[in-house]
Amino acid sequence: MLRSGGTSWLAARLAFALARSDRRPSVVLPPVASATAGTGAGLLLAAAFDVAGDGRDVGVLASGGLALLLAGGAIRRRVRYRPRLTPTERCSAIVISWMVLLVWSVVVYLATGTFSRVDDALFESVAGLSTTSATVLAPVEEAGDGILIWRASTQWIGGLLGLFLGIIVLPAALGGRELLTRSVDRAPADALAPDARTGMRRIVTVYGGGALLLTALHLVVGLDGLDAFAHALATVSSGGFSTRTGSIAAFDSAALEWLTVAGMLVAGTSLVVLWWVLRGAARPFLRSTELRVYLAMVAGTSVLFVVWTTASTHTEVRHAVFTAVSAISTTGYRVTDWDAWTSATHGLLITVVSVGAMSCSAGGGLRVVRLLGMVSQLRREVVRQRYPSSVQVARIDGRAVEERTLEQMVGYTFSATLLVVVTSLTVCALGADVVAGISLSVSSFATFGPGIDAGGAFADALVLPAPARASLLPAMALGHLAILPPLLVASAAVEELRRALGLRRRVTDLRSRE
Amino acid sequence: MYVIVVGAGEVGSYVAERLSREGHDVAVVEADPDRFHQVDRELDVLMVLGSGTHPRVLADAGLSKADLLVAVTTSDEVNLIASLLAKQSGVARTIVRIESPELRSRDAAGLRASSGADLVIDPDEETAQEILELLEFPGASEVAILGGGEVIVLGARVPASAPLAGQSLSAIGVQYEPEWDFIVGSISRGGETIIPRGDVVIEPGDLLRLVVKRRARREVAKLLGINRDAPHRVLLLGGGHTASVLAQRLCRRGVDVTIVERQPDRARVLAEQLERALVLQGEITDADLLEEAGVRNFDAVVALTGEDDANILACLYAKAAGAKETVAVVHRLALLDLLGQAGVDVALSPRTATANGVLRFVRGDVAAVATFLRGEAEVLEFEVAPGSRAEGNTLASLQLPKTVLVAAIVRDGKPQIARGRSSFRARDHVVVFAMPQAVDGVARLFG
Repeated sequence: MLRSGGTSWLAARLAFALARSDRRPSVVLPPVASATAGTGAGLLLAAAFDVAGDGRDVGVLASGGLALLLAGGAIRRRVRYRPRLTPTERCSAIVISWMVLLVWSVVVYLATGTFSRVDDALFESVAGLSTTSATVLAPVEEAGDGILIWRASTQWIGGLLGLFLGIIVLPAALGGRELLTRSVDRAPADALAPDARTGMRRIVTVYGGGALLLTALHLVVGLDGLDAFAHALATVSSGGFSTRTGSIAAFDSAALEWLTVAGMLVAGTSLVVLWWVLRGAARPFLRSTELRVYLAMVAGTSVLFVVWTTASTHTEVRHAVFTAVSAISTTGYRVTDWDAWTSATHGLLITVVSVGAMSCSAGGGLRVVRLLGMVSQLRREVVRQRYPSSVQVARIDGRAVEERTLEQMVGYTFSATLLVVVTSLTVCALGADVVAGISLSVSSFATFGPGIDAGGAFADALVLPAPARASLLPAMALGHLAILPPLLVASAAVEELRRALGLRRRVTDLRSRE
Repeated sequence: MYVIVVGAGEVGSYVAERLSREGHDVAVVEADPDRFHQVDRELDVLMVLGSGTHPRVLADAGLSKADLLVAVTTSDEVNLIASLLAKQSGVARTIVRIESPELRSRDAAGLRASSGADLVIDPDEETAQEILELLEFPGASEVAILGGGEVIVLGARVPASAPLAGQSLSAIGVQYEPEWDFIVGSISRGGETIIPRGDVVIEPGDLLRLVVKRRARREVAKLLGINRDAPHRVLLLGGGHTASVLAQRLCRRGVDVTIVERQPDRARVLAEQLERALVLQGEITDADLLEEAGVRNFDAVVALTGEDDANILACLYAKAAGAKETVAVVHRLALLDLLGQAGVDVALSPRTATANGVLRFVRGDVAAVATFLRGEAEVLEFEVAPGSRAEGNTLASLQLPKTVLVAAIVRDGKPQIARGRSSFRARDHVVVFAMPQAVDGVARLFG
């Protein structure tokens, strides 16, 4: 109760400080307020589930939730976005929301006593908000019902912010919008996101509707209310947090596993494709190369897993397919311990995890579309060497990709590689086994979660020493937030800080002749 | 007939000249003063300075008495507006040049209909079509397809090694009795074109025009000494609209296409449009660039920039480097005769293609017209009208003048080479060689 008082006090202080701002246009305050209110709503939902369970955290969740909701709502009403935000400012708004959610999530874990160490609370929060299934909650079953729902909610909301970023904000900020409407022959007026506001509303509708639908299906296959809702949130976001230490395997249900396979497959599919499917006009999109490569990857990986593990029973085949889909959609649910599998399967697993799901999906990784872009880029580089005067255009789906978009794809792929290399190096230097270190780095960047030879597929990051574990966090956060936006915010913040502290570069006297 | 031609560019001035030579009254509207004065010196027609979109300018050109308006400026919008104005003033027929693929597409059908255009033409498209036909018959310098595709007119310069060289037409005729697969329609020699009689001997260097049944085209090409395979690799020099249309068609047939374009932006557009073609950026007369493209390995090199000298130079270079076939688009007819001697295999001008379309339309009762750059003879296609003078008669009984040769008759889709004993039935299609002054007489015969 004391801890929850602390939360409320903090919220009240913030509200007081901001109350005087008097509807000042800003880029920072509105996302802070919205994220705070969102946290409050999530906590109240969690409190409701907690009451239905043993109610051990209901006090903290309910009072904290109410305080944050009221404070956030009040502030939100007093502040507004500057009119006509630039794409970069929209990027910042998303990243700031994400960071605010992170802070509140850490506070919630500490306040409820779920974790006693700050770094554990931070790890769980970052993993949740980046839709990575890595967890330090062991055993998971010991946490209260409310916390389990909150944990799953962080994945859902993290996934939502990722979709906003990937579908609405980044294409406008960095180019690449043409890739979204790649296969549309019709007017883009009916598209998923004709403008930011409509786009956000539709994404919330589809993504939220998906979660509710999956909850209902979970109930049908026999899960109880808590498990059904928590897993639905974690599946549609390709998050992969489970209510059991043994992940999906703990339920030992073929029906649930096939249902989850379908859920993960859809979660890894581009929301733009899903949108047109829902509108009944999916035909042009079914010709999309990205979709075909994605489905081919799923099919190929499944077959190879089946062959290489010499799966013969229904259960073994199901586990092979489940693992393939979980890896490619970067969800991270587990039904089998793949450490016992052959080295070839491990290689394939890490490869497909690094490629990941489709663009505009909740999944992570490099994304299939960037793979296509890279292949096209490689092809044109070869032709360019043979014919130096030739004008070469990179293509996806047979249509030209703008140079700016391609540049950004190349840049992203390079930064991602660098990020994984640096993370691997750090993790290994801090005491991890090399295979575990590298696989966990790739897995974290792709927001998958589990690694290879890390003490069993179910053991997760727990086998790592605490500092090594912490060094995975930047990979998760940057991997989920598309690398560039957080750097954008960081550079703006540094500039702001320099100005606030009066730090200036020394300027040589312009008049001096020397 | 009173005809107003809007736009005195290459196409417009040529159409005006042809129509005027056939005895029509022609007025030409041109907005550019320099071009206006130039054409005014060259042609004996009424010239009006001003825009074809201005009602007053069109009125000055005699819109109220015009029977036909031909709008062939390079601006689609001007052409469409001119057609609209003409239709509103009661001009019976209009011909409009539209180049943008968007306005030519089905989506813009309504616009074309409401502009009242009776015929929509695209010179670049027609040039592309003509080059395509030439590429299909490598070695031929002219190709025209008539009679629903069943009859082909092939023009080629006879090499000394050709089996036909040195033979008289009557000797050739005897060899191929009883059923001829081809007939010599005209011979151009020393700047003069004649419609030959049986005693004429074919000499090396003659430009022959043969009317050929489609199924016999390979054997006839062999007799002309030009039997080669259709090209598998084509180099296009110049990346204008014609080139992009041509490249699209060639790519669709599985031909390897390389394009050289000077302007970087245009090169990028071409590279985006044409997935399967290789686009190089640079000058077409740059020998290093042509070497980079591997000019020696191409079956055909087509130079189709707007600059005659660059086209000719590039073709000469390509020929010297070892390209099998070279085609140059030239705009100045005076250059044509030089080219055959210099080693450029084929030269064609974009304006003939367009003029053919316009002339066919003006004559109305003619199913097709093919005119050629060299020599004056025209090839016409007529449908024999029921009750016409020709119907039911044999060719010999018509007693045609020497300036006319009936070359082929297509009946129910089956072609036959016309002989003295051949008779005409209603709805036969006939292919006729004629000198321009005889065209009207022939038309009356079948109409």
